[in-house]
Amino acid sequence: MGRSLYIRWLAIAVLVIAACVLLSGLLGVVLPAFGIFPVLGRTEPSLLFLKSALSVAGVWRAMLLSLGTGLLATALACVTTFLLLAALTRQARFNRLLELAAPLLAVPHAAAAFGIAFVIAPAGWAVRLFANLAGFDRPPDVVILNDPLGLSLVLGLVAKEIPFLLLMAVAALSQTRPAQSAKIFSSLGYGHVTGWLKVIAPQVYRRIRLPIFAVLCFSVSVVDVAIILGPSTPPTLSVLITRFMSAPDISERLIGSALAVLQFGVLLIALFAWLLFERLSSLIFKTWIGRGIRNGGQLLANAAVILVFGQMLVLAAGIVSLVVWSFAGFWSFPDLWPDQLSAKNWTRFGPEALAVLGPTLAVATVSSAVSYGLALILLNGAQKYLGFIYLALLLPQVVFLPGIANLMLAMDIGASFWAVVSVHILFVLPYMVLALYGPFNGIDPRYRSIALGLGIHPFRVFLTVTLPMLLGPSLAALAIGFAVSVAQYLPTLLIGAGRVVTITTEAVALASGGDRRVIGLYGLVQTLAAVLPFGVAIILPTAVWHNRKGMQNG
Amino acid sequence: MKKLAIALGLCIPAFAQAQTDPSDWAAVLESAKGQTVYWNAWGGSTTTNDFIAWVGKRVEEDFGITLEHVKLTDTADAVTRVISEKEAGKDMGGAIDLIWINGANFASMKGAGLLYGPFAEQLPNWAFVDTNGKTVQTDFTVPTDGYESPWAMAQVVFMYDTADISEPLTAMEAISTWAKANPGRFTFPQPPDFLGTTFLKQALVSLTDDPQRLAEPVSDADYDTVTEPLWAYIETLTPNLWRGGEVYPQTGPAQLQLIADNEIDLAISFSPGEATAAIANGQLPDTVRTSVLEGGTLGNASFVAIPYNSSATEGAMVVANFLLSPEAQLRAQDPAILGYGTVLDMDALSETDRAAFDALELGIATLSPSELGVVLPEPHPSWMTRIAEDWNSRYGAN
Repeated sequence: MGRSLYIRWLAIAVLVIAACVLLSGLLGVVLPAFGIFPVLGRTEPSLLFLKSALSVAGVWRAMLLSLGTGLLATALACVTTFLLLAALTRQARFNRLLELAAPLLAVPHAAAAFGIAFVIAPAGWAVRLFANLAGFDRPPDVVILNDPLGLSLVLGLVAKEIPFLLLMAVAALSQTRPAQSAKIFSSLGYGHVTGWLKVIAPQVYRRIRLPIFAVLCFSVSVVDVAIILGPSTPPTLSVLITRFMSAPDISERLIGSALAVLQFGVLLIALFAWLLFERLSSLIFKTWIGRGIRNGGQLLANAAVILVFGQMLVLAAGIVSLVVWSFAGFWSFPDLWPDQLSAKNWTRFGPEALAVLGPTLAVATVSSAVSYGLALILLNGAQKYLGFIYLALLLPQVVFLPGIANLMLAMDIGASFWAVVSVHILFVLPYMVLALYGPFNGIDPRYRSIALGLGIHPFRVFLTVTLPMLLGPSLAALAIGFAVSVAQYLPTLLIGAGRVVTITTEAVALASGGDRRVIGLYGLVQTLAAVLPFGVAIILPTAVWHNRKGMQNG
Repeated sequence: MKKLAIALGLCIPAFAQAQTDPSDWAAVLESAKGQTVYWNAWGGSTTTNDFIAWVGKRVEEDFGITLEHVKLTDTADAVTRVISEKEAGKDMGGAIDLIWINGANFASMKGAGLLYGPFAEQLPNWAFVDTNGKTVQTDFTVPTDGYESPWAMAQVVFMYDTADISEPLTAMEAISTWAKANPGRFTFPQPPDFLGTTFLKQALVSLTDDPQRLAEPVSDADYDTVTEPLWAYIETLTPNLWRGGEVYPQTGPAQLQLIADNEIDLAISFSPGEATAAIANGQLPDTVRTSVLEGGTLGNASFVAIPYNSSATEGAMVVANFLLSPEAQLRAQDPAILGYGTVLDMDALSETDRAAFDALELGIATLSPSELGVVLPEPHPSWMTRIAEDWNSRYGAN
């Protein structure tokens, strides 16, 4: 497999630059955690702040919450995604269902969380329905949102992660030749669901293992969704960190950084727990496969389908509620519908919101396109050393970014479009790589060997053989990259210093005012910014491969 | 056009550096012309955003200054940026020119040498400022020393829904008694949110025997004695709070939604005009009114400060000065627009300006200056930090 030499050098160059940036981010966390913070005149290392971090009220509970909600959300999302695929891939309308899932994927996490909150809260739509029937006008004083165990947080995370994993799994699915496998297991008398789970699921899992790790890391360290749906007395560790980082007393930031070091530990424990979970389920799975049971998966899969549809219903109702709120005047409990509907909110905020779509799309287009190129270079040239680029996903941005801002300032890179693009790449690239990693390595190497054997230049082989076979995964990767870029708040604000305004910096700032009308409106415009690429990612491969049966899904 | 301006701004930082002496106002105006001022201010209030946009329009017309509102969720993000710049040795050409600030953030930035000044008392419109009647030269007891310029007065009021509460609750004890009779209908933002901490401070100030003690920094020697009445009060109140004190709203504005959802009937606010504006925006039912406590409520001023490395110091000073003009103050106080209290001394104004202030109509839920009653000074910032921490270990981490 003699890959060409300059691809390797190019890949190494990319990695070195990424390493420098990540290192500066890391130093920005580690140095303050160990008491070094020149602005306050602290230059001597000390363990004082790690000690105070461990004695912050509620910190142990916060760590447990992060770990528990993160693992539970990931496990639920993962299991239901596979059961759903097993149940539905036989359906002719499967692709149509995916098209329906696309907008759900594009809704930014925070907007989705607001929507879900409005559906399930004690003053929310579900209870209002009941209140109208039962005739009460005060919402029940019960804890549903922000429950101490973090169950509503888990619900919110799962609802958003299933569409993501589904997209990743479908992109990988085409490479496992599911139709051929299905023919074989059916002829051996296996039911579709059982056969699919036994034969195809393990192949798909292997290919989307990295995205699953990303889901885990995201769920353990998420801030915005955890603030909206998660517990608050105490909150999860990442929210606790944010509190310390935004304390007026600058020295509290040292404790915030020390907590971030703990967060890193929590993440490692979560990853380790997941590996154990994998081992355990692999053992159970092997026994189950070995027994040769032909049927039985159906019931479980049906349950999963109902569960997922229930969840998607909540999510979809949440999004509908954003639409209704964006047109609402005063709207009180227990009314199912606002007193007045008007375009007032849209005429007041619409033009501003639409005006910032331009820069938002420009940043997202450039950063996802560049990241795509970089991801291909890395996958071709330096697969073995990829691991550390995920570092950017592992640490909370609020502690990680000041270090990067320092580096950029030291290099005299001003707050500009390109500065923002480059920091977005840092967060987009890992998602790109993990979306492409499985599919890229899953391509049957014989296609390439045959082409090379015909004397074609490796670069041309890459362009004409490898790349077309990656169409589906590439589009999925670009769509995700685009959405990741659109959703960046802190990197845009801290690196752009207000010079680069996007729909998300506007939306997050306005959301802090808690007005559901404005939140609904900006959530919708944000969704609009991200939904288009997802639509393309799902529809285009079917269109392009309409005459290539073997390249189509399922 | 904007991009071009930015590109130029980045190329010629040297020009922006000559920080003009604020007492030479003609020179300040001269240098300010053509500058772009990045004002970092909380962006959560659409009415405030509209006001800032109007200020931008006016300083463009009169002084040729471009004002960009950088919308923040938290002032801390601006502080982070200035810290990063200082760490990187970027002592000139910084990205932030003006910050909406007060209290602990100010104390902390001033203490770390991150602010430009003194400039505030050299501004021409300083002559109109009510330095005797309003706390505009100290910020949470910390002397401003001219490092920040005031632009609005705030005072604690309680918003209550007259559909559920017929008579205003005018004492802390009355609130607790009412909460006991109506459990689950009152809450406050979770400390360390500043409004939540303000509720604790208000309770402390109202309940303590010796409010004078709070003007001095916290000391371990008498902390327990001084705060004993506060914790006794909170201990009684907490089980009767919304969700039994298990969940709290995370921000001040989140309380408005809770009133609109008929989850609670009473909430604290730091702006006497907030309820009126929220009713107009459809965020609150029109049955909401405001009230104050008999012994008075806490009040403070909102300020603007200029980072030490601002790239448009003169432009920022001109904006700070414009904010003190009778024109801007009148607009800010108009309940239909913002409903923020003015920092100006009515006696220092011209007859026409004074008449214009007098002619302002109060909003549907806004109290008149005399009804607002006594304004109590903020305790020293160390109290705020300490009681927020203490509350957190008592009630924030079960």
